[in-house]
Amino acid sequence: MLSGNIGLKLLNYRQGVGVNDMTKRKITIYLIEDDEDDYLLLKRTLNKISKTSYALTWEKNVEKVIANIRTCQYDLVIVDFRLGKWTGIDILKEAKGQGCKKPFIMLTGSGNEDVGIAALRAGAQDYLTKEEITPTVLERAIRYAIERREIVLREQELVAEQTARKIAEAQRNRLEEVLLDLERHQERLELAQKTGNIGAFEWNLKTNLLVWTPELQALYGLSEFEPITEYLQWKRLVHPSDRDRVEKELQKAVSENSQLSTEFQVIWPDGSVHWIYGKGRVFYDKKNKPLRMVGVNMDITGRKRLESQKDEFIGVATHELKTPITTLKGYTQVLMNRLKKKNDLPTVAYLSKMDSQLSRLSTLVEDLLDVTKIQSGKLHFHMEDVFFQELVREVIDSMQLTTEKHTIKLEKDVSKKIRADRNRIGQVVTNILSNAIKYSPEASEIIVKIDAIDSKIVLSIQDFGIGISEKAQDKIFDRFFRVSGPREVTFPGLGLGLYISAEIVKRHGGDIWVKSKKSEGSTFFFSLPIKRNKEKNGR
Amino acid sequence: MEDKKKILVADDDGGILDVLQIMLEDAGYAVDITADGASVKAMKKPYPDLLLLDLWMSGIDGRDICAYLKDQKETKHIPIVIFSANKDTAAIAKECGADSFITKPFDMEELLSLIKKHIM
Repeated sequence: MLSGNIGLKLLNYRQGVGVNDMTKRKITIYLIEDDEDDYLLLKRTLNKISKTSYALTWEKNVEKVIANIRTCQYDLVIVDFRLGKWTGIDILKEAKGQGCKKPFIMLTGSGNEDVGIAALRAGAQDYLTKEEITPTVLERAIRYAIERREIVLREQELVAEQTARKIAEAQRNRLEEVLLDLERHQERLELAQKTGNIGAFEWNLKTNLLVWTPELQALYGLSEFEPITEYLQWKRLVHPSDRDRVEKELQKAVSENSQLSTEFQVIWPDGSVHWIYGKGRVFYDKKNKPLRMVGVNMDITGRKRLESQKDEFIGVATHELKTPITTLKGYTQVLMNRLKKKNDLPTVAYLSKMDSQLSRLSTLVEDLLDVTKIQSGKLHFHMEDVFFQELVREVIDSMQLTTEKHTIKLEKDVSKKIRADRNRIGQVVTNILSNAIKYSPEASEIIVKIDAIDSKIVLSIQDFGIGISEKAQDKIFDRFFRVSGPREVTFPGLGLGLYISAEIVKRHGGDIWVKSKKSEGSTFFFSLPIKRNKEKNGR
Repeated sequence: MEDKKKILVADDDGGILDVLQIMLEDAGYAVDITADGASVKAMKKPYPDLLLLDLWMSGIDGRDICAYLKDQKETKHIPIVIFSANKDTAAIAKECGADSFITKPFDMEELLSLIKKHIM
């Protein structure tokens, strides 16, 4: 297409259309020729051309030509093919290589058409056989060479221009797309921030400067005209009771490259207190130096209010549910005592069953409340020094009273102190023992052992009951899991006991696990860290 | 009859007060009951030999009553047994100076042996 175009234009020029103004001024020609006779011949021929005047500069030193060709200011270069150890094609290639855009005409000897063709291929505009040179031929060759060169250059410029325009257009389109995309993202983000009570921040860890979105300003009760731009400014807005803790958590996230996830209270300018949930990620440079933290804040005041209502509810529910049970139990026991004195033993036996059912009801209420506490992170411990062995003995003694069939044997023990919530660990031992009793109705023995392994005490409770299938063993510490099917009435319960026990043990820094074989029995284990005597010196 | 030990039971639940009165009288104690926490705090002579106090009373915190009585010269000798439906409050009971703590629902035997520890 391109060459066709040029061809058409060339044709137009040949027909004399669009001839430019080169006839009016002198055309400068640079002749590279090592033969003075040839130079003189060319000069004479040029002088015979009447309609155009030429300024001919002769150069026979090829090295000098090569050194200056890049800055060549002539309208045309005529070069002889034979130049001692050089050829005209060498000069041509050198000139093109250096970026010279001037038109070239190659002079050759007669009968050397091949050289001419090679010259054209190397970029010459034309070639002339010295013997054929006449003023007419020369004039036309010069004119065509210059015009052709100009046309090619103009075409190249045009193509380059078009390409550049196309690239620019494509870039502009892409940019518009990206901007549109960005706008949509921005809109979505703003919508999300506004509807979700979320604000975003960027914290430069080198300068301690902050960038906040307007939504974040609003979460702190500030208008967009009161921007928070420094870390210390933010810190002052955090409630004094949370300030140090949150700062430590921030430092931890930065130093350990961990995700920040925290809750804290902030004080608004009007004095009201609001809860904020903060999440952030730290970005590092190539040398692993922290650069910035990017994250979001969310208002969780409503959720916190609900949580505290829930806590209050748990407390009230515990009280309200257990009070009637306490009263019922009390009357049952008063009746039992009075009937014992009257020696009405069958009725005493009924009342005893009633009493144990009331104990069961009480345990169920307790378990449900414990699970609620675990779920809401409100299971609190009162840690004290506990002689583990003593605690286990106490639990065994009281559990022994609940079964006539089984003998609970403490086969091995060690005397070690642990740091624990006495009631809660007692609850774990009670739970495992009552399971052992419940799930080994045909057995007569339950074996308890206490070991000290490394820095932990390990308690094992072995029964010879129905056992647990391997598949079920993985799930046994999950919430609501039960060994038997829901329709089976032999082993009732909500299946919360082991879940609660596992939570209590884990929160004490221990582990809980089971070894069991179907129809042979189960051994439950749990471990707890032994209290180290040197703890005080270490502080 | 004169040498019967006197126990004051303070709880805001009438059912609990009734059954504790019967239970403790059956066990041979003289029992006074009250649902009014403020009157317990302001108790005058003759003092009971033991106070059985609910930690969660409406209107007033059992902790306050306990801490107050244990802080007064005239009443600090009186043994106080705190009972609560929530076993997590055992530590709280200790903090306010109570002599013993028992969780609801309790066994009669358990309660009586605890009382015996403090009054012979």
